[in-house]
Amino acid sequence: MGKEVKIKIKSPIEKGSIKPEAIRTALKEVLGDKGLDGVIISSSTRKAGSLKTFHSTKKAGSSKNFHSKKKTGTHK
Amino acid sequence: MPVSENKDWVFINCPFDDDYQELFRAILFTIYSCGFVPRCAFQEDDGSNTRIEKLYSIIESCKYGIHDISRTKPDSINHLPRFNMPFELGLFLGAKRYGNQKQITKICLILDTEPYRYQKFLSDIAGQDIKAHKDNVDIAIKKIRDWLRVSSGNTSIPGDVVIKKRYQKFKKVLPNLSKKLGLDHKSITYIDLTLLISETLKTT
Repeated sequence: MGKEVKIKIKSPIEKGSIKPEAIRTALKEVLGDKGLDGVIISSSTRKAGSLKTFHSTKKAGSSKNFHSKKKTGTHK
Repeated sequence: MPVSENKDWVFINCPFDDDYQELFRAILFTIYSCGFVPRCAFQEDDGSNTRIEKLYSIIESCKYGIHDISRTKPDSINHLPRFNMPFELGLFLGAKRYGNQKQITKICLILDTEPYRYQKFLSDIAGQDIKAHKDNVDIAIKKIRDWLRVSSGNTSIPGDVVIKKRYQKFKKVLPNLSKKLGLDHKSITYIDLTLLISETLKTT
């Protein structure tokens, strides 16, 4: 007896869908790894219209550097 | 029943004929690029609702409105002018004038082909600040982008040069993108087009 093989058949709706994932795949095929700006797209997506770059930003008002702060009151 | 208003929604009141398609697509693209969501009569396809009911509902739900009153010539089929655009502008202004606390905060941009021309066919709105796009996509993008920037105060809105470049690129890839998704870019529906624009911008 032959081995039973389960085949998942996609419904016609799934095949021809224009779900966001399908659009993203099609976009990658059309644009390659670059977005409309010609810049390589990061795996994380950003909000439409946002000018944010992929650089991490310092918290507003924060002036922390990499030196650890000395605890107040200690004389170490 | 009152409709909840969304501060990011923009009502689009413009011609939907073939000659206007290029401008219409640029308007949609600019609205999404600025982080807003366009709304128009194409949004809903509920046959049980009359067109005017749909319009009431959409106008009530949108804080912003873009009204293009440039189509003054008789159409090629019936040889009659279209009055829908000035009528819907009137509804929007009426909501702003007589509506509740939310409705009176409505903001609109009125567009025409040439400056001051509207005074000859819609003199009731004389004195309003109307912008001219000269049927030019680049000018329309700049006018809409600048208006949304000023009226929303949103500093994350991209510059018009960036939006124009992105739009040109989007226009270039649209036929291929549509084909891959089993759509015809020439006859693409409003709902599919807006989804393609918003998804493209999200990954850009």
